Amino acid sequence: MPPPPRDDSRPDRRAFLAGLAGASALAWAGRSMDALARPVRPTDFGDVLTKTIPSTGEAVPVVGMGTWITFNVGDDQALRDHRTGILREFFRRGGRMIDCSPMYGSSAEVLGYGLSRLETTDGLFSASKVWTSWTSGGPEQIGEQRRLWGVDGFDLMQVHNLKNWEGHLETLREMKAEGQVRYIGVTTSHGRRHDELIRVMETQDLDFIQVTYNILDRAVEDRILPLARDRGMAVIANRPYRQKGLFRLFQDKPLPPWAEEQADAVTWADFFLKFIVSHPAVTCAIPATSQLPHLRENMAAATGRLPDEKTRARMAQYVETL
Amino acid sequence: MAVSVTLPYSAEVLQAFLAGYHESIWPAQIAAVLLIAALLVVLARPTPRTTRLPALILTAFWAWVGGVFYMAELTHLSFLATAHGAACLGQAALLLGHAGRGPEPVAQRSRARLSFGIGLLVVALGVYPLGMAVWEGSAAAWRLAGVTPVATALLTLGALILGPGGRWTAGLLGVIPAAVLAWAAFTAWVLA
Ligand SMILES: NC(=O)c1ccc[n+]([C@@H]2O[C@H](COP(=O)([O-])OP(=O)(O)OC[C@H]3O[C@@H](n4cnc5c(N)ncnc54)[C@H](OP(=O)(O)O)[C@@H]3O)[C@@H](O)[C@H]2O)c1
Repeated sequence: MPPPPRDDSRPDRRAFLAGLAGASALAWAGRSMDALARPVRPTDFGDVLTKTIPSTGEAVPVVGMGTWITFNVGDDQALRDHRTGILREFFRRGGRMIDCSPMYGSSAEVLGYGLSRLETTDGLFSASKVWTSWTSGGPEQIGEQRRLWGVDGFDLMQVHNLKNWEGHLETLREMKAEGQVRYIGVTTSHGRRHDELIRVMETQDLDFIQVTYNILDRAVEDRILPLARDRGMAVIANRPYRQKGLFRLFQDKPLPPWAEEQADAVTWADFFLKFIVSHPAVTCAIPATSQLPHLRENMAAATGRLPDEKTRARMAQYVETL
Repeated sequence: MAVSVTLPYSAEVLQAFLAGYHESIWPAQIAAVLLIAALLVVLARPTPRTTRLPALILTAFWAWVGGVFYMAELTHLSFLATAHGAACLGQAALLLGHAGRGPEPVAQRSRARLSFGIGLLVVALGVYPLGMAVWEGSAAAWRLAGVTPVATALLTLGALILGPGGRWTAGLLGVIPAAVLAWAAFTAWVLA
């Protein structure tokens, strides 16, 4: 079924809101300094909010993009060109971080196809993964990902789902020392293997962790997010929409009026993403999409104000009542 | 939920993949259709001299589905394709082993067995591919038995039921095709 038509005039309103937000951001009381995302890189659509990577202080936009399923389109020319359009729009709206994995079928190849056709990929923050049981296969797999993306090196290389993390982290540390990757990390998802993740976080020097975090899946709030803050690790939130699950549950329900008043959340995408990225320990969320209107909505969530602690609690409570 | 971990593509992409697959394997489809016709003839008029033929034809189909459909083609989209391909090659080996056991007596087929077997063949060769084409609004991704897995699994089960072997043979050789159908049902549920 074709997607419902969207209101494309919204970005202008966004830009206005973002301007207001910029002026009022510093005066905004009740927020910790970490939660105060900074607007940078003005685009045609307003400032994109960023957060800093603790290990270096580098800023990244609070909304990036995942590629699981959405970019796995194989050889189909029309679909490849369509996804190139998604990439173009992503950069146009100030996006930077793109996350992929060798597990995602043809996604890396399709990404490389799209990136090579864009006029500019300025600011690309490439995040991929290593996903093999054999330590010796790691460098080869990373090299293959580099070739598919068409990049010289990755900004972030993660151990996918903690698979053979002992072996791969050693490789990644060497690559980082040689300048082949800038940051290293590990990922988990679906709330699995949290105890093991905590052990890894406590014992290893990591720049990033990637975990599932959304308004309904909040298990990481108890121990993992505080630990990431203590250990100075950036946090990427995957499955921010629970794979469409959140939209299925809530899209027919009304957004509360206070969501716009207090956090510039005028769509459910805003509501879900702003909830995630306003957590003080979270650096960014990486929603995946195969549709331009959705991409626009997702990137719009990286503009305007973020909810403060009180509003976050209200948001979580609100979805529980629905 | 584990569902999203197991299926890395969308329905739209699967359809596009199948259309591209048909283009890339052409004219293998002609061979598949001729072999299907031969299979139907042998099943309709079994003689002691032809009892090994169904298993041999099905061996070729499963070897193709395992080696070409899964391991050479779908592997670009799905990390699970290698395992699925291996299971299909296993089925081909089982069928070949069965064919190698020599001729079997042509058994009398009960009315129920005949109806069930023929019903499965009709679904494999007609209802299922036609239904998918109508659903998708295009025949470009035609689910042709012999070169695509679900139609091959349905055809195999029909042939096993109609074929000369007894219940045990059909049961043993039907495990992997039944698993393919179960996976297909799961896939359809996820993609729907
Ligand atoms: N272990 C790991 O390392 C791991 C595990 C899971 C995920 N990840 C990463 O995290 C990324 C995100 O997770 P995910 O893809 O599983 O799930 P997700 O981002 O929560 O959800 C993606 C789904 O949401 C839909 N969607 C996106 N924007 C929308 C909008 N504005 N309105 C309505 N629907 C929208 C998309 O459909 P449309 O295409 O129709 O827009 C897509 O089906 C992945 O792509 C991957 O890069 C990593």
